[in-house]
Amino acid sequence: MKKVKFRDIIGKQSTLAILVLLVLLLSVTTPSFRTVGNMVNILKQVSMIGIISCGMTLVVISGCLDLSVGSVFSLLNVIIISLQQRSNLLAITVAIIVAVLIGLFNGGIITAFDMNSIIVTLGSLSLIGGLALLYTNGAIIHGISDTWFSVIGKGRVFGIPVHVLVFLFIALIYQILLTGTSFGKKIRYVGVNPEAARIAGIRTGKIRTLTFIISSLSVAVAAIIYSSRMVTGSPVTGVGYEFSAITALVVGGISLRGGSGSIFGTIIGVLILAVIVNALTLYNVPFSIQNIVKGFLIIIAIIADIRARREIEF
Amino acid sequence: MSDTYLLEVKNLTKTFPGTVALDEIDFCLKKGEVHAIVGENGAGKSTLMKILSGAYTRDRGTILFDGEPVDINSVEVARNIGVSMIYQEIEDVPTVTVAENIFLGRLPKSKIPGFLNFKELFDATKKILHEYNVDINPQSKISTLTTGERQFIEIIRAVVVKNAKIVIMDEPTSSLTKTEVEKLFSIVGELRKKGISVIYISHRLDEVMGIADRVSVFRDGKNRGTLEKHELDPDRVVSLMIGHVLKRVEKKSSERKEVVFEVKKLSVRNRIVDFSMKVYKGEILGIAGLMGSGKDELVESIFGLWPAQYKETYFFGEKIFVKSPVDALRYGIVYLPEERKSKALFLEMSVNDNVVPQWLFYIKKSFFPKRKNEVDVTEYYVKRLSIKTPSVFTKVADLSGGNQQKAILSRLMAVKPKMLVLNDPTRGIDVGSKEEIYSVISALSDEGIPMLILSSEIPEICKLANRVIVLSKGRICAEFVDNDVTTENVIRAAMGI
Repeated sequence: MKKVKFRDIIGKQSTLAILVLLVLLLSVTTPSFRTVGNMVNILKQVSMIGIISCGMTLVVISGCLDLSVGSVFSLLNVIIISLQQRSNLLAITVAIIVAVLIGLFNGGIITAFDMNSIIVTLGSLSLIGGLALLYTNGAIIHGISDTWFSVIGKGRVFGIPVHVLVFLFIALIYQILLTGTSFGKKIRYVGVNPEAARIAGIRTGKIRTLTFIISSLSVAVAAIIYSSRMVTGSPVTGVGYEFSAITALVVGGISLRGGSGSIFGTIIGVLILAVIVNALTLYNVPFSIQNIVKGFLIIIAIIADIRARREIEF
Repeated sequence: MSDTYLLEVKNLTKTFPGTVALDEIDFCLKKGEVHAIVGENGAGKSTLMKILSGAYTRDRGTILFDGEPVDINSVEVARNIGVSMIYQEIEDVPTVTVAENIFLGRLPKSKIPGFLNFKELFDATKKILHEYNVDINPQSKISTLTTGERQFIEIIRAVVVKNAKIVIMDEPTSSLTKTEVEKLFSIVGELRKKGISVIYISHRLDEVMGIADRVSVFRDGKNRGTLEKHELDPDRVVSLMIGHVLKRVEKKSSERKEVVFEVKKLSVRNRIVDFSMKVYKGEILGIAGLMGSGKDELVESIFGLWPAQYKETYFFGEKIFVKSPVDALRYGIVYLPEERKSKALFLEMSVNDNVVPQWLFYIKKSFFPKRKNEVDVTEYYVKRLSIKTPSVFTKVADLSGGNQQKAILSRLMAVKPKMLVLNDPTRGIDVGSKEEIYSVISALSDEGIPMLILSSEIPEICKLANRVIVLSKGRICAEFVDNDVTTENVIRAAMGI
C-alpha cells in the first residue's frame, strides 16, 4: 500500500521535477539561457500555444482529441485581419461566433454519428484549412496597426505582456471549471467511462460538444493575440499547432485515454517543450532537428503514460 | 457403444477468489456421443469447458484422454489433443470468403510461390459443405452470412482443419432461428456419425431431450448425475438441477392495490413483442427468462437505453416519456446495469466519485458543488451499507466486487428513487456480500419502493420477488404470484416444459 502511494506522489510531480531540472541544467551550462530577457521571451512564446493546449485539455479529459485547432487558428487569423480593417470589435465578434460554430460542428458530428473524434477532427482540419486558403486565395493579408486592438498582443501591465496575463487567466478559469464545477466533474466521468456516464444520466454528447466549443474558443483567443501582435493574416499560420498542443499535453502527463489530467500538468508540458525549443534555438540547432526532438518526446511521453496505466490495472 | 471413454475428468477442482467453481467434479465422455450438460448459471458448466479448452487451468484433479492422463495447461495443448470450443462470439474473418475461413491456416498453395490455389480451395469447400448438408456458397463473404451460418462454418472448420475429436458448443441455439436450429441438429448428427464427440451446453431442455445421447446435470460445481437417453425425463432433470428445496425468505405477500408503474404495448425490434405489465407499490417484481428471451432489452428500453419501436409508460398514473437515462432519472427511476465494470463503475476514480454522480447532478444540482457535501453523502452510505473501504477517497478499483456493487447501489439510493430496476444485482460477488445486498433490497422494499429485478440465477429471483414474469422469445409465457413463485415453476416455464 505504502509503496503505491509513494509512487503516486512521484508520478504526479515527475513532470514538474523534469521542468525544474531542465531549467537548472540549462541555467548552469548556458549563460544566454539564464537572462531575464530570455525567460520573458519563453513566456511570450508559450502564451498562444498554452491557451490552445488548455482548451485541448478539456477535450482530451472528456476522452476525445481535437486535431482541427491548427486550421481553426489559420481561418480565424485571416478572418480577424480582414475584418479588422473595418472594425476591431466586428473582427473579434465574428471570430468568436465562427469558433462556436466550429466547436458545434465537431462535437455535433462526433455525437450524432457516434464517431471517433480523431477521424472527424482530421476531416475538419483539412476542411477548415481549405476554407482558410479559399478565404484569402492563399495570399497573406495585412491589418491596421496602432489601434486599441494592438494592446492585446503588444501591451504590458507592470512589465508583463498582456497576452501572458490572458493565458494565466484562462488557465485559472479552466482549472476552476475542471475541479470546482459540476461541468468539470461530468467531463471527467465521461472521459473515464462514457457508457457508465450515460447510464448514470450524464448527457455525454452535450458535455463533449461543450468541450469542443471551449477548445475552438480558446483557439479564437490565441488567434486574436496573434493577429494583434503580427497584424498579418496567413491561411497557414496555424499549421502544426495541433501537434504542438498534443505533444505538450502528453509531456505534461495528460493521458490521451481520457479521464485524467489537469491544467497545471498542461502548463508544465507547454513549458518543458518551450524550454527545450528555446535551448535548441540558443545552440543554433536547425528547425528540422527540433521537429525530430519533439517527435521523440511525444513517443517517450506516451510510453510513460501507458506504463503508468498498466501499474494501475495490475 | 463401448464403455471406454474418450475423455474422463476425475475429482477436478477449480476455485476463484471467494467461490468454488468446480468441486471435485467427475465427468465422462464417450467417443461419438452427444453429451448435453444442463445446470443453472454458476453451476460450473462454463468453467469446466474453459478448462477442457485450455482457457483456464485446473487447481487439482485428473483429466484422461483415451485413457492417458493429459495436462491441459494452454489453448495449444487442448487444440493438439483435439478439443475445439465453438464460442458465442465467433472468431472468424468477416471480410474474406467462406472457403478461406474454413481452411484458414491450411490454405492450399498454388505452384507459383506466394499464391493460393483457389480452384482446389473452392472445390474442397464445396465438397465439405455438401457432406454436412450445408447450403452455402464457398465464395460468399462471411459478412453476408447469418449468425447461424457463421456458426456452422465455425463447427466445420473445427472438425476439418483443427481435427477436433471433441467439439464443445455453449448455448449454440441462443441466437438461431428455428430452421437454423434444425440445421444445427443435422450437423451435430453428422458429427456423431463420424465418431466425433459433442459436448452440448444448453438451458433449453426440449432441445436437449431431442438431441442428446446422455445428459449430465451440474449444480454448485458438482456433477449431480448423468442420465442415459432412456432415463431422460424433465421432472428428473429439474429436480437434479434444483437439488434441495431452497429455504425461502419470509416474504409478506404484497397487496397489489396501487399501480406505480405501467408499461403498455412495448415492442423492440426483433426482441420484444407487445409487452405489457403493471408494477405495484411495495412490490418486488422479478423478470425471468433464458438468454435471448429479451429481458435485458426490456429493462433497457424501459430505462431509455435501448430504442423501443413502440411503448406507452405510465408512472403514478401519469403518462411519461423516457427516451434516455436522463428522462428516467428525472422521474426517479434508477437502473443498475448488469455489467459492473464496463457499464457502472468509474474504475480509476474514488469511492466518493463513484457514489455521488447522480446525487450531484439530479438532487444537488449546484454548479459549484462543495466537496464536503459530497463526502457527507458518501460517508452516510458507506456506513449504511457497510462498504468496506479504507477511506472514501480510495480508488474503487481497490475494493472487492461486493463492495463495488454496494457503492453503485449507494449511487442509486442517493437520489431517493421512486422505482429501482436492478439487472443482476449480485453477479460475480461473494456469498456474504450477496446476503448483504439482499437485505438492502428488502429494506428498500419495506419503504414501499417498487423494484424490477432480473438475475442470471433463477433461485435468486424467486428468493426476492413477490411476483415473477417469465419471458420467452420476447413474449410473456408465464406469471407466478406469491406462493407460486418457486424455482421449479419458474425454471419449467422458462425452459418451456
